[in-house]
Formats: sequence, structure tokens, C-alpha cells
Amino acid sequence: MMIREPETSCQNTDQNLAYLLRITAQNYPNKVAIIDGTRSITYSELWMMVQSLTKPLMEAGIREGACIGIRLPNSIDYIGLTYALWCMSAVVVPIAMELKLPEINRLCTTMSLQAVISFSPSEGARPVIHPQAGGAYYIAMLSSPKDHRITSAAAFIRFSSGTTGRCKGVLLTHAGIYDRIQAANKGLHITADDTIVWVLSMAHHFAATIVLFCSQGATIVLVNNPLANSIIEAVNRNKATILYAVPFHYALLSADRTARMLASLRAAFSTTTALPESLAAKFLLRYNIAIAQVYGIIELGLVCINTSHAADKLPSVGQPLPDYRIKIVSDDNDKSTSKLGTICFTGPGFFEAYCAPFTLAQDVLEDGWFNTGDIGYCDDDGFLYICGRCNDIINVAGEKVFPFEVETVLNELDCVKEACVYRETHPLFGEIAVADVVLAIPLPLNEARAMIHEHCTKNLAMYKIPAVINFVPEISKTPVTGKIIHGRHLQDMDHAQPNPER
Amino acid sequence: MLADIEAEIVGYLHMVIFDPSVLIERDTDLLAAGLDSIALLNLLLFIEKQYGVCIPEETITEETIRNVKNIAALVYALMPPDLTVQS
Repeated sequence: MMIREPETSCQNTDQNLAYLLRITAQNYPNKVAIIDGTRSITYSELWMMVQSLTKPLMEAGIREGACIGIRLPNSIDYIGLTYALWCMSAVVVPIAMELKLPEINRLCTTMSLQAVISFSPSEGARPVIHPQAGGAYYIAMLSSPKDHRITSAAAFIRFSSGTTGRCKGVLLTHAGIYDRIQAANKGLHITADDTIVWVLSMAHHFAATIVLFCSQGATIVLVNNPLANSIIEAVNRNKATILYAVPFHYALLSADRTARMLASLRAAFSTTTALPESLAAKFLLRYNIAIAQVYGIIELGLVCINTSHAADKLPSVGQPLPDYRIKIVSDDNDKSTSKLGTICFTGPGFFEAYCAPFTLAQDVLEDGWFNTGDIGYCDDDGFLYICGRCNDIINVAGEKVFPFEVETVLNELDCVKEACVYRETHPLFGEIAVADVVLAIPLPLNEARAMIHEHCTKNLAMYKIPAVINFVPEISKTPVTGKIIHGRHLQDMDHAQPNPER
Repeated sequence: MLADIEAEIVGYLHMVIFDPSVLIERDTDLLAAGLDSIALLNLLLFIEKQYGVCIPEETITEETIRNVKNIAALVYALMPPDLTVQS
């Protein structure tokens, strides 16, 4: 890959994604980059915004290599600030809006954030007022020491993922993101003629999508509510060519009872979690559009897209994109990809490291292959089908829940001796979190449930809170390592033993 | 009962979904206040946990989700009859 430095008054770097935005602004100065409700901004205006934001960020004390949290809703400002921080060779760490204060504090500490930028004024926070911004931003400087393992090559840390069910913080470099957007576009084929209706949270989806759209001069239409009417109106009003959403949105769209179509779309992509076959069929029947499933891995990028056979191979995530290679590792070491096994990929744009604990990618990869933790197989045409996961991550309508994080919060309660969090299927959300809990003290179960719910509500985003709490006498563990076995523990106390206090 | 549901949903939205500075009342326009995808997901999960009601996707429209009054009425309508007659 080759990216040269962006020309800013503040910083010089060897490789920087902001340079791509500058090139787009040169090539498509008057093209609308982002539409956000009644606001819109062209690429030349966006680039000017980015450049002018670097000064107040610098004055606030942000420097090269600093890890900066961005806690903003989807907006022009979110994109502008991200590129402005990249111009300064700072590292962007998205903080999802739905996280609770204890979760944010954990993230700030674990990732050694030097500042958090948000719309919320907090004590000591410095306001940044920009004429093109939707409002004042506030920069709260933190006292975390700089992590010297994170260099100016770093662009982005996604506080997520890891194959063991623990949050690790995935570090991506400018070069790595550049490589993965080039690879992704061999399947997405985004050009300046495209208009993308965007309904996903930028805190969860940015590096391989928004950056790609901006690098190609496409127009991004932000739709900040998920309802069918809003999405249909946004597509038709803007003659959008691409819809990028999750099955939850497609479920709402499929249930729309009007006769309105999405005629301008050339593709509807579904990501983050498996698209149920029945939903894909319902959407196809309603809109005559086959939803193309996208298989993305934060550690590697978008590796498969089912654009060619979305209608007749509904459950498949497609063939690997040209730059990626796949192998399926089965228990009997059979090399055939047609056999069910663990899905591994290799290709460009690998993550640089996990941040917590700091582990270089090269120490995670196995001979250059990344083990996704997903189970699947390929058909005779090389189309990949994902059948399950061998890790414990729970996917609630595309939002990842890490059992270890939820168990840690549950275990903070004096009344909880031990807890185990695992997934169960749900008709609308795909999966939900369920907890098995061993009580440390005898308590009426309703009272225990209320205590647990109150504690979780204070400490966890809602989608992470177990939808069902079962009280059990013990949690199963592996005999040798003593690790919790994540799954339903039989002998649920609600049924196993009478409790007169219920 | 309906008033209780409204009060609980207002309390939930105020405590969990929206910034404390946002005033949420039973007829506040939630979409204008910024109810996004994840906020809606969280709200639906809350309703399911609190009332044992799974809202069908065909009823999730701008009209039903627009304010707490409409959401509570939908929840109430979907609750089993033996629960709705308590009060």
C-alpha cells in the first residue's frame, strides 16, 4: 500500500487515511459527502472542517499517538472529528453512546485514553465551537499515561472482539485499514456514483465502510432511527443505491405494509449477524431485492460478500473476496473446505495488535492464518456457510456481548457467588444473553432478581443485561482447568427445589 | 395499569436511554429526541423483560414508537388479559 502524508498545519505522518479524504476533496470538491437530516456537507467543506478542527484539538493538548475517545452519535461531526484526529496522528477509540458510566470508565482506563470528546459538558472539559459543527464539542482531558507501544502508525482501536469472549481492544493501523478497504471494494464496488443509506452505529462500524465510502467520493445518508418508514423515505428521497443494515432493520422493513418500493437500490447488504433465511425470503418477496450477506471480522475486515448468489444461496455469506483465502480446520485435520470446521482466513489488512493485554497480531496468527472462532463449511462452488461459533460471544441484533464482562458485573454483588452468561436464540434479535446464577446467601428469588437487575442497569448497556436469570445450585466447569462451561446449567433452582419465599 | 406502564417506560428512558438533560414525558416525540437503532433495541428488550411482551415487528412503526403514550398502549394491548385486569 502507498499513502502519503496529509498536508495539515499541525502534523506530519508517513501514512495517513486523512490523505485519502484530501484526495477525494480534490477529485470531488462539490460532491455531497454526508447528509444528516437537514444538514449536508460537500467533500471540500468536509476537508476544510477537518483541517480547521485540528487547531482547537491541538490547543486542548491532543498530540501524536494519543488515544482519544469519541462519544458522539452518528453525525457529520463524528466523521469530521475522526479525520481531524487522524490528521494529527492521534488514535481514535469509539465509545458507543449506549455504554454506562462504569463501562466508559473501564474503557478509558484499559485503553489509556488521553481525552474523550463528546457533546456533553463535563467538569473541566474544554469546549470546541466550530461553525460547521452541529453544536459545541467538549474535550475532557484525562490523566492516563501514554502507551508507548501505540505508535503514529495506529489509527483506530475498537474496544471489542477477541475469540475468547473477553474484550481485548483491537488496534488497527492506517495502512491496515487502507489495505482492507481496497480489498472490500472488490466486492462492494463503491464508486462516486453511489449513495449509501447508513443506519448502523459508527461506534461499531467505521473502519471498513465509512472510510471506504469517503475514499471513493460516495454520498452517505445518515438515518438516525431504524424504522421502516424512515429508511424507505431516505432511500427514495436520495435515490440511494446501497442500503447497509443489520437483520433487525430488514425485519422492520419486511413488515412494512405500504406499497412503497426501494427501486433505486443496486444492493442491500446485511452484516454483523446471520440473516435468517425466512427473513431474506420475506424481504425478497416484498421488495424484489435479494439481501447480500457480508461477513466481516474486526481483526481482518470484510472477507466475504454474497453478491452473486444472494437469491439462490440465501444462507451463504458468499465466496471469499479475491484478496482473501479461506481454510476450514476440522477435528480430523481434513483439509477439505467442504467439511464442517473452524473458519480461518488470511489476507491483507490484519489488525496490528490486541491492546488488553497487549499482544501483537503475529503472536495470535497461526502461520499467517486468523482463526475466526466461527464454525462453517463451503459448498462445491466455494460459498461459505456459517453454522455456529466456538467462542462465547453473544450477538444481540448485531451488538456483541462478552459473557466475561457481564459475569464480572454480576460477581460484584455480595449476594452472587458465581455466574455464567450464555446465549439463547430470540425470534427478533437473533440471540439474547441469559445468566445462570449461584446465590451466595439465601434470598427470596424475586428479591435477588431485582437486586441483580438494578446493579446491571447501573453498570451495563441494556442489550448486555441478561434477559433471563436462572438461579442454579452450581455452575458446570471443565474438569482440568476449572473454566466455566458456557451453556444452560441444568437443575435450575426455580424448578429443582421449592423455595417457600418465592 | 396503563398509567403504571407509562411511568415505568418514562423512567426507563430517562434513566437509561436519553441524556439526563432531555426531558421525557408521556407525549415527548422520541424520534425527534434521538431514539436510534440501539436505543430502540434496548427499549424493546426492556419491554420484553419487564412485561413479558414481545412486540411484533409489523407493529413497530413511527406511530407506535413516537411517544411513551403510544408505546404503553401497545404493550398494554399485547399483555395477556389476566395481567391487564389486575388494577
